[in-house]
Amino acid sequence: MDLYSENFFDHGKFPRNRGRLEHATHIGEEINTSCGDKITVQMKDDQAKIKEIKYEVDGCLVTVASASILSEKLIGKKAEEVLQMTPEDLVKMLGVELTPSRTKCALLPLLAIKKAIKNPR
Amino acid sequence: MLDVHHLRRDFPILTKKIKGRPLIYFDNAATTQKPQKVIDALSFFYQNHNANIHRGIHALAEEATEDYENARKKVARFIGAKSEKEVIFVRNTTEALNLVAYTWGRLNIARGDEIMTTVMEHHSNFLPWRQLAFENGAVLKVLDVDEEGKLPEGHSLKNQVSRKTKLLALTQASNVLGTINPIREISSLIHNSNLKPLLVVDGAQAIPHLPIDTAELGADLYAFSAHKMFGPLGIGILWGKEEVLESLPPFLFGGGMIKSVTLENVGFADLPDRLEAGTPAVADAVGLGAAVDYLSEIGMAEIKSYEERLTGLLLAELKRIPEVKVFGPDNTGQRVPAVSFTVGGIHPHDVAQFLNDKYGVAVRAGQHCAGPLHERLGINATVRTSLAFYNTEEEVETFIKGIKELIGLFKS
Ligand SMILES: Cc1ncc(COP(=O)(O)O)c(C=O)c1O
Repeated sequence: MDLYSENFFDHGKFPRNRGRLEHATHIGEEINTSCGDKITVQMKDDQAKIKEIKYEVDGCLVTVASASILSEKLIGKKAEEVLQMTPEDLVKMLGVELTPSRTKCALLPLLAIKKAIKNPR
Repeated sequence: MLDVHHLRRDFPILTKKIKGRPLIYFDNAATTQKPQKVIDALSFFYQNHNANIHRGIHALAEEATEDYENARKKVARFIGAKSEKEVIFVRNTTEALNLVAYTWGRLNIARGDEIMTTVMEHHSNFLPWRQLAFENGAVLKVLDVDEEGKLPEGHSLKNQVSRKTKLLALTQASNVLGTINPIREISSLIHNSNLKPLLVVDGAQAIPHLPIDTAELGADLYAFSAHKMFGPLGIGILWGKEEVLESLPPFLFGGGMIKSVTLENVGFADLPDRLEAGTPAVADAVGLGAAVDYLSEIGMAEIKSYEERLTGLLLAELKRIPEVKVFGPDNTGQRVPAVSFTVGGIHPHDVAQFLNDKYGVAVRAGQHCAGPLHERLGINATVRTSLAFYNTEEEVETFIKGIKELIGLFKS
């Protein structure tokens, strides 16, 4: 599937769960040094399981779509499990083909989420 | 008139397909494609003359040395150098500029002196001076650009240069805005006021598009890369007035740059060898020689007038699209064909990706190694379309169609 496939493109154009989370328990931020794209993730967890994710993002389609998809698919997952996720796992979860440079864009939200997990408030 | 469809056959890569569509190569400011003659010159050298230079008396060593020095002569002729001693082979523009900063700069810049550059510089004509200013306690002054992306002229430029200004480093053409800076006028303006900063010019984006005559230009030093002018990757030129190059201490030390060495004494070689330590990129020099032969055959004036027309079409078409914002001068006589723009709120990476995926168009997205300029423009990144003489009107039309489809897709 390419970037313009319906589901992925839709997440990029109409991202879900964008915004700030009241009473977040964890916060993480990442910047893509090659283009300056930035994401801040706020999360709530409940007994080491992710309960809710919101994010503020200034980024390209791939970064935004990845954040949106992750904010849905990671709900209910164990924090430990998310920390173990590899770039390959992520690409599989997103369901699109990505070149190495665009894989970096897709990784940004995952890195921010991992940072958040390690950064309880 | 330049016959573009005929010339395109000289570039084997231009027949390549990207995802089933013909490649449209619009990233020429990053590097240009190579004509068959350059590719052949490289393999001819390796098949027939390969040897180390200046150090053998066997036949191959003589042939290789002759090839290398012939290439230097060709480059000297191409840029109007007074002698081939003025032509130093380096790796690229970046190395040429660093060579000046490390040799002339470390020797001549003192505490309190000023180094002047501009906000439109590529990092390779900004960071070496910033670092030099930092290390030697000098002040780095940065000339601003106006709304059209042009430097101050006349008085307002002259007023910013003072007796303290020891070095002025600027580009002849911006790799983002396309702006051509009037080097000759700037040089006379400064010298007529009896100011004598060393004038270092970054020619990387000018040399593929404009006839260059260093004897007329008014620069003291001029740097460029072969790979941006249809030559091989990995070789570049530092041109300098002979008396300026003579005043430079050696940059790198080692083989090839000495007359004699004993434990006690070292005698350095004459120009140009003194500034070329180590085994040079001989085959790449030969390839550059083939590239300048090729360009001379077409004629730089022909190239310039063809590209002006093509750039005019590109600018006019882009400006008809309301979502597109173009940076840099409108007048095609005052710019090279590097055209940077943004498309509404669409991220530049998404623009470049879409054009590649759906139209086979190669453009660059990002800051193009010009962070301070993007900061000045108040934007994070731009898309850059940069043309060469082998690009066609049809390619520009296809690219414009792509931009329109992209807007439709992202805005619907
Ligand atoms: C204006 C300008 N100066 C300098 C450079 C650096 O050239 P190189 O990477 O070949 O040293 C470039 C190329 O990107 C450029 O566009």
